[in-house]
Amino acid sequence: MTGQVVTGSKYFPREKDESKVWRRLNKGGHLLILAPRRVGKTSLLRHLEHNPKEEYVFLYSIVQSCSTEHEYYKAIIENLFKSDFTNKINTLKNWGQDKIDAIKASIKDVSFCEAGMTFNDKDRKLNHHDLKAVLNQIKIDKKLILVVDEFPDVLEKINAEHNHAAAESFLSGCRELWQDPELDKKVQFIFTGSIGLDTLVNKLNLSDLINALNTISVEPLKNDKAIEFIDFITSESEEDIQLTAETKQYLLNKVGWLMPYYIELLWVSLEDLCCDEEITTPTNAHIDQAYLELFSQNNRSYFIHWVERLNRLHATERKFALLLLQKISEQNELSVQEIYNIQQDNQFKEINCSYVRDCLEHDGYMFFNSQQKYQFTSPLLKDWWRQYAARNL
Amino acid sequence: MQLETYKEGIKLYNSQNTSKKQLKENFVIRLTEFNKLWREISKSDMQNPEQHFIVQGVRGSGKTTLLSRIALEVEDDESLASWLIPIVFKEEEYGITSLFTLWERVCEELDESHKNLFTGLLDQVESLEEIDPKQAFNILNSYLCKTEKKIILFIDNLVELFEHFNQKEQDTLREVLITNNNIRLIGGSSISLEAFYDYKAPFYQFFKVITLKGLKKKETTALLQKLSEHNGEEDQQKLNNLLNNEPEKIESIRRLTGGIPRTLVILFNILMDGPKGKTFNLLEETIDQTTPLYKHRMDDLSKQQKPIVNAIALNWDAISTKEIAEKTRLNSKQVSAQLNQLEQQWIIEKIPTNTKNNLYALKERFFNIWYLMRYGRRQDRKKVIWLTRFFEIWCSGDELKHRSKQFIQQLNHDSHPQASLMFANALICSDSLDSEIKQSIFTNMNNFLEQSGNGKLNKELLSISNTKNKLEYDLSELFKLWSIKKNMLGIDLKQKLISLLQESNQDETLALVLSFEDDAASFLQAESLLKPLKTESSQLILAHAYFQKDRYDESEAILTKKVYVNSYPVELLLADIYRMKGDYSSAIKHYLNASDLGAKNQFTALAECYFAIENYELAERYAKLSLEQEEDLFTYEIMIKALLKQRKIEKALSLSLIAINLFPKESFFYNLVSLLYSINEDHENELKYAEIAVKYDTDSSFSYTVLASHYLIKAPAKAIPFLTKLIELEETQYLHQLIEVYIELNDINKVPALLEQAEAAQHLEVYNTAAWQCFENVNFKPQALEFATKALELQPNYESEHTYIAIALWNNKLEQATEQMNLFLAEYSNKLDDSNSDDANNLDTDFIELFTLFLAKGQTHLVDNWLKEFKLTERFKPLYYALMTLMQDKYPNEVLRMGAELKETVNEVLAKIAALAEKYK
Repeated sequence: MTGQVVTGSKYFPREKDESKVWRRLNKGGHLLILAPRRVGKTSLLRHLEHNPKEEYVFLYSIVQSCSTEHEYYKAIIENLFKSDFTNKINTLKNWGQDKIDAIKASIKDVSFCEAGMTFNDKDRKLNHHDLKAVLNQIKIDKKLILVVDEFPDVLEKINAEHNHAAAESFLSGCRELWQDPELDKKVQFIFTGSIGLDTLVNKLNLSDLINALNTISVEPLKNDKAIEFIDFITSESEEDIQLTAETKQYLLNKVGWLMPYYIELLWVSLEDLCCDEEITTPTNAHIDQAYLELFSQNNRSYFIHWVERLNRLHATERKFALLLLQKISEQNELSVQEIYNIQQDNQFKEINCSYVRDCLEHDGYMFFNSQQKYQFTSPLLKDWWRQYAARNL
Repeated sequence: MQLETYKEGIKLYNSQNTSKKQLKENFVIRLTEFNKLWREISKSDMQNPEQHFIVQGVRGSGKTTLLSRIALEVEDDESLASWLIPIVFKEEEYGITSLFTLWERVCEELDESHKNLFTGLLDQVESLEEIDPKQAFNILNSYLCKTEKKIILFIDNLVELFEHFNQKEQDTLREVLITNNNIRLIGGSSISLEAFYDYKAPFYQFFKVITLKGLKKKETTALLQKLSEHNGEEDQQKLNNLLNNEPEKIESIRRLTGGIPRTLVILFNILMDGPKGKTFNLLEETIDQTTPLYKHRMDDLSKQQKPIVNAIALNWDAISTKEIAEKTRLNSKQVSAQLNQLEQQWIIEKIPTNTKNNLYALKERFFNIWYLMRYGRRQDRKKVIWLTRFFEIWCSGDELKHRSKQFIQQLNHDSHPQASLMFANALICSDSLDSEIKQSIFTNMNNFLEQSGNGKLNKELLSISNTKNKLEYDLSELFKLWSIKKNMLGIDLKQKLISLLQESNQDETLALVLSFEDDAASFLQAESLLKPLKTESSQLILAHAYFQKDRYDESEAILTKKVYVNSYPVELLLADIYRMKGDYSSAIKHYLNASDLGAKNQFTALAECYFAIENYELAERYAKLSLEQEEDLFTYEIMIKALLKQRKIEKALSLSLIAINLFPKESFFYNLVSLLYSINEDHENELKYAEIAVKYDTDSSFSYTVLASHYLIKAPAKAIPFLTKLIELEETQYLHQLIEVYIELNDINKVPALLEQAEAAQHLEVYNTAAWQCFENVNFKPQALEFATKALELQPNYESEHTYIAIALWNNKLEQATEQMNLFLAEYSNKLDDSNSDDANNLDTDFIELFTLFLAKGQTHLVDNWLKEFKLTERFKPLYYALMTLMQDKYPNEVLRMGAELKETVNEVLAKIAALAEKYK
């Protein structure tokens, strides 16, 4: 599926990445998953959540809307008491409602109702101590893996809407949890998000606060795996469309950067074309046609968010980012020297150009190739950018 | 056919209000999309969070109907009904302005439809102390879990709904949609061109998008079948006949409407309604509803694009570049460039032809209908041409006549005046009806409007005088018409003429007509017809045909091979050929021959030729003769120019003023008058006429130059619009002045873009100009450095190097300034003694200036070293002693060697250093 997190039978197994996560978890410690957008991080983690190894139980939380420390911990704690999770724990420990209530009571001055947590005192603010108190009460034989998705968003929002001190305090509190020896025995955190946490903390000069996290990267598919992925998604199709080995490879070559999202995008376009024109065995020319159709007005939604996503940068940072991307789209590649030269532009003197560059890399716009040059990760995105992004700037 | 027994069939509007039975029965299009969505929904048990969908399409493409149909299917499906509750939000849910209210509305719906299950839900949400969407959703979700139900929301105009949500709400909703398996969202969204530029829909990437494109032929047929069904057997039979005998008409209908269901239904129902006009109000409502969007689209067009889109829209049919150029009076190149742009913006589409000339039409057909309805002139038949075309396609043979008679019969007090008027006009415009029936329609409609108190609408009733049926023209009439109109004759009539000529084997006349066509095939046909014919007239036609195609040599060869005695058409044609080839003497000779033979209309051409060979006196004479016959614009131009060349200023001025009276909208004459007044040094009138000129010709460089020059001196700010205009007219050399003005006015923000523009136009020196202007104004220091750096980069030369050094110093970039100064001195110091050097005159001053600036920045050692290194102490003695004065600590005795005669000068230098230090600190 393009768009939604995939689970169950719709999830395409990525055994190597899954194994990598398990290996790191088995070693103990807390993880930071670094990967560009649309790579499938959330789907991967949710798959692990639903198919945990024997000694683990997962809780997935997404915290994108949280812009304060209080909201962040509220979201996680509320999640802990959602029926899905408590049912899961119940099957493990056979706890009764009284046990769950006792755990809830470990947080002072709050109560729980259908609407969520409510506070006796309106000024009551949750923090890491509250989460710790709850987690300490959860005594199960398994390791609790707390997956926190879009964690960097929270940090960025706290910094933007409050100040650096607030961001630092928040991150310090998180770090306390990670470094708590007692908690460490029973809980591990996995953080991930669309924004690179590493680039963000670097910008905020708070890198030392996340050095306790072990980073894992999730890469694009290798070619053979990508072929498997094509078979996977085409098998889901109700249409009778046959791809030969040649056309599959041609499709992958068009995509370039073998992210499942882009492969599926091109496949869906090809499927539509085949249905419209009653083609059962598409050729490379049909793939070309389907590729071009991706740039039509109808499909702008698949790409426009790449432009929109840059709005989170400050105006000058954004300007720099757009200029870099525009030049790469025009020239196909940009050397370090050329980028350095762009950085020397007076208008960019006040910004942290390295941060912006890192954001573009982490967020999946560009990457550093073997010729020591930057290029767009996806030829699709490059072609779209060259044609249309400038109109939105 | 029973028009009056029109049944409630396919409702155009508010399809959510259509009854369920009808919705199912009438749902004959978008089946692929329906099946796709239905498969997704029916296969899923929503144990995990599911994929959400957005159905997008232009207005009228059937989104709302599709959503309603899916919702109905969910409702009726037994296996889903036990656990999945569809909730449909109507097209405009004005009450939903936040995420909280969205959940609240969902709770309201559940409370209404399943009160027994969701008792207390709404109360609980409404009694929340805080307007917290998370809390509201938690409650909702809790109830869904308790009742083991899930919901599927169908929200039309989903994207518009999102626009009400702030970022936090959008993030919150996104969290729900990712993690919650009790809710699924199927939304609708209108695509518009404008929405491409609007990236306020961050959710889009999260949804799977199904696009409703224009209907294909199969679906168009299905829709027509359903429409026909509702109108009775007769129409059904009619459609079957159409499908069997004229299947291409289905495609014509599809293309006419752009494959948009609503447009097709509107047209069909208008035809079926006749004068009753039930559909007319809906058409008007749709027009009103789309007006903000389409008007915005027009407003966003550039100045050059607007008339082009206007020309295309008013033509309805696809139109060529040449025709657009003629209608808009823009040159073809400009039109072509804009057409490319408009095509990229999806405003128009290109329709390839068999020739190299493409045709262009508005892409969105309903936009074209809107345009004609809104901006079509009352008496212009094109205003309803879209309806006429539909009638003509749908009604074959005598069918249209039959409908016309029915229309007339049904005009009564129940008839809708505006709808009937539109219907009548559409019929009157049809070439398929004869004059008699049209007259009858006209008369009856006229009477109806008068009698119903709508007499004022009669001025919108089209007359039939110019709508003669093509079938009724005979050959001579047609040819006569063609002789007058030539290429402006309509395509149908022209084809009729050609066909009649072919039938009657009038090859020569046929060839004549073909020779005036633009396409190569017609010319070849004409040529092949004429070549075997050996008559003088046919050869003359052939010669003329070659002339039309700029094949002057071939044309000349024919005319000079034969001896055309006493034939002034031949003399005229030969003269034209020579004139086009630039052989003015020969042209003159033949024009004079033609005159001797009685030709009367060659005087302007003669004037032009004499002007070209600089015989201005004769040019004047013949222009005058021409003007006595006809007061032609071009002839006035030649005559006035000839007078100017003869320095007959007063006469030229007087004639120009006459020309202004005759052609008050021709800016050329205003420009001339402005010029003449400037020659007479009457600057007041010079300005006055320049100002008038620009009103009539917004592209007149001359006028703008006058105005710009005037205001640059008097009031620079006022020069801006004129300079800007000159630049728009590609007089990019004025970018310098404009930049200087902006800097002078402290408006630096506009400067960078102008610099880029100048750079693109290869005026690379403009950066230096800008930098220096900043320096002289002592303003925009960093920008000055930027400009100077750029100037040095683009055009490293004496000026840019000099500027750079000065500005780097100003910016305290001492290292850079020093480095560049070293290079500057190394390159140019040896030219100081070169009296032949172009730079020699400026060098002394510039060197002193730079050294002084360095001293202003306290760089005594540097200057000391340079003066010595390049042996300049003697040459710049006052400067040297000023330096020594500043370096008395190091050189205590040096200043004592200064002669008394230098003291005053040295003091001046020192004062200047101090002043510069202050000025450029």
